[in-house]
Amino acid sequence: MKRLLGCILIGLTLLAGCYSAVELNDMMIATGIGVDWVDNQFELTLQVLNPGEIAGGEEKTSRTPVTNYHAKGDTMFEAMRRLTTTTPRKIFVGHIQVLIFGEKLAREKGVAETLDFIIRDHEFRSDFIIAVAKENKAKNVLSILTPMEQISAQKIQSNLEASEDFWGATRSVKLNEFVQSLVSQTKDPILSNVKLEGNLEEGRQQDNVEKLDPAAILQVDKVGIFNGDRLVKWFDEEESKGFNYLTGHVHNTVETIEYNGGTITFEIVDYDANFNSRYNDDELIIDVEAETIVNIGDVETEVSLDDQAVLKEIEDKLAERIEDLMSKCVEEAKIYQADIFGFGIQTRRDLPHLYEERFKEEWYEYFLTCDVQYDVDVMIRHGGMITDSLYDQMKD
Amino acid sequence: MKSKLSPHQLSLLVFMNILGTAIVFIPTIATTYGKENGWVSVVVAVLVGLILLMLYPSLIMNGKGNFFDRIEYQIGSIGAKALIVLLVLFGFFMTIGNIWSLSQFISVQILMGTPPEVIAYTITFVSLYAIRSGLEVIARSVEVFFLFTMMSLLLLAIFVWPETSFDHLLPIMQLNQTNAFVGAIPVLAITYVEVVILIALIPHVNDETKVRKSFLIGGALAGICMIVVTVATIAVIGVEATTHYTYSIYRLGQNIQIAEFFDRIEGIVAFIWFFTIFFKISTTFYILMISTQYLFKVNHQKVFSAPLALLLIAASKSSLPNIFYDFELMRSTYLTLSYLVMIIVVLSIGLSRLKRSNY
Repeated sequence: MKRLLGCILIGLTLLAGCYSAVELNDMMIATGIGVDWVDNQFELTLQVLNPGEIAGGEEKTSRTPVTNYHAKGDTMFEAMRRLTTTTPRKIFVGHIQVLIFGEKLAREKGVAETLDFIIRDHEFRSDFIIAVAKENKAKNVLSILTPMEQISAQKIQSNLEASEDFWGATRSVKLNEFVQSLVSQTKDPILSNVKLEGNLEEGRQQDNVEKLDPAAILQVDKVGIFNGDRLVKWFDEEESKGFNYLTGHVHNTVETIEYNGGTITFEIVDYDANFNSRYNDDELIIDVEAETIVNIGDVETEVSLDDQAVLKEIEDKLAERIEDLMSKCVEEAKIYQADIFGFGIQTRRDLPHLYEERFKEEWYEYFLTCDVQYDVDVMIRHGGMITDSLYDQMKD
Repeated sequence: MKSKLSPHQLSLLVFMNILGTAIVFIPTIATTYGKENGWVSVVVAVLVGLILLMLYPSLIMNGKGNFFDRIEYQIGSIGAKALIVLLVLFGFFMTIGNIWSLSQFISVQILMGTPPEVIAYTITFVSLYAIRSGLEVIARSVEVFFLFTMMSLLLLAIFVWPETSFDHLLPIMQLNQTNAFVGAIPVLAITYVEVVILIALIPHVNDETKVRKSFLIGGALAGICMIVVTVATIAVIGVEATTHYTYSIYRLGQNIQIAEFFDRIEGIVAFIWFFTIFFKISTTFYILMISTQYLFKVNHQKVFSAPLALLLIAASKSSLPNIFYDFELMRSTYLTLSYLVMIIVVLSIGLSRLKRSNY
């Protein structure tokens, strides 16, 4: 009796993990999801891995590393389940890297209806990046075969992260941040774009990755602003950068100013910004303070860098340039009535009582009329391996 | 009196009983009322709760005989029976609530697809085994698992530190002040108010002079943990998300991401909950067992343990309709019930004690 009990106990502990187990061979790992709005229905595109092509060192076939499946449905959940009519196995969505919205969906339908399912479902994690397929369908963007990174979802994700870190005109917005902006009363969300450059048809072929110069590539270069859950405007590159400057999301980038008939290009190595609200003479004022440390990276003009006064002048010019980018972005955001910066949230924090009594109801009116004042502090640290530029000697 | 507890073990049991269930729901409940001041609700609740914990031991402390003898001595045989019936009903309700919410949590977040009933069976039978082994066994195991719980809590607090942004807590106590205090009421209901049931354990403590101190130590420690967890949840995932997620502390755990190495380890949250709730269920179950023994005047202590376990499972399966009811329950019925029970217990015993001392 005791022995039997012992056996049962050991069995229970050792086999407990087998309950509802799914073998790796029996599921498909999805890496990216695209959502489009087609004929008043959601069209889902799911990119799944072909494990043999990704992992195998030995025998690689000519099959593509990833496969896309499509399905339509009135709701996200329905479309997701309808996918099983085309997929050979059960889909596992825990490793999703990117979620891409088609521009039509983002502009006309709004993205809110796609999100509840994703937040509610336990298999989805929230660490994937969200982006919008610029002037295109998410379906097409996800169907490009990309060189270097075999999985295009992975390529989009690392692309966005790298360009945020070293260029500063995009933002990799994750699910949490996006939803928080959407549910907030005042703040509006932004998303980066994914753009298809080149020929779609050729980009879908395996040839695309066999060429030195691929026929189609994916590019991320700017942010789109939302009003509520609808995309209303693509910022241009300068405005996108201005947005990141204002919200302090620039990590490292380059910035060029004109000086003395030529140009000087800086590498921004350390950047920090924040903004606060104050209320003065019946006017809401947002003070933006930014501090940055820069290195001189490229001098194409006659300038003597030994002179501290000249350096100061250059610093001021760069500060002006950054302020310029920020104010361009703010002006544009005001036109579309999208408080993408979170001025409203910050005002609630800084002026809680005024906010509750006055601003809360008509925040957008205050947002449109608020005066944004900039204070950028630039410090030049060093200038690479040479001191004065060789420019004038070379030109002579 | 066969079973004996040391004051140290009692304080750990108090700690576990306060944190059980509550730790998972408190951030959500507190922020629903107080928004960014949700943590203030918890602080207020802890302060009031500590006063309550000072009060509870004096009801029973320094009497003769076991818990039931003492109550009978205070308010007479019939009054005592009525009071115990009340405590039994309350304890029963509390336990089925706990079993239900644990089984739902595990089947929604940890073991997806496992029927909640299986988890309810498992946890109830393990507690059944625990209480049949006696109070000492529960008390000794709490010493071991307390370390686990504290370590998990510490790890959680340390790991989410890089993700915190204290801007989420601003403005501090400028708006919603009243709501921040109102929020303390439901927080108290599922923590310090409901542990009134633990007075039944006081006669088991071998050094009764230290009982009040144990209550306070356990309560203060639990209070600190609740405050830290609430502040961390608001600071990491923000007010909106905290109010929206059913298990916001689990969501907090999902945010842990250190050097792409400590990743996806939200399971430690489940550890915290599992251990605390297990001891909560076991302690209440034990009290249920000795109370029914007293009510029905049976000689053998364990007679009602197995039937009670079956009743608990059946009730936990059928009493609550769905997961959306959890918060409504905690805000309405359960809140009223726990305050009512606490007030009746404190008043009936307290007043009669006062009367006696005056004569």
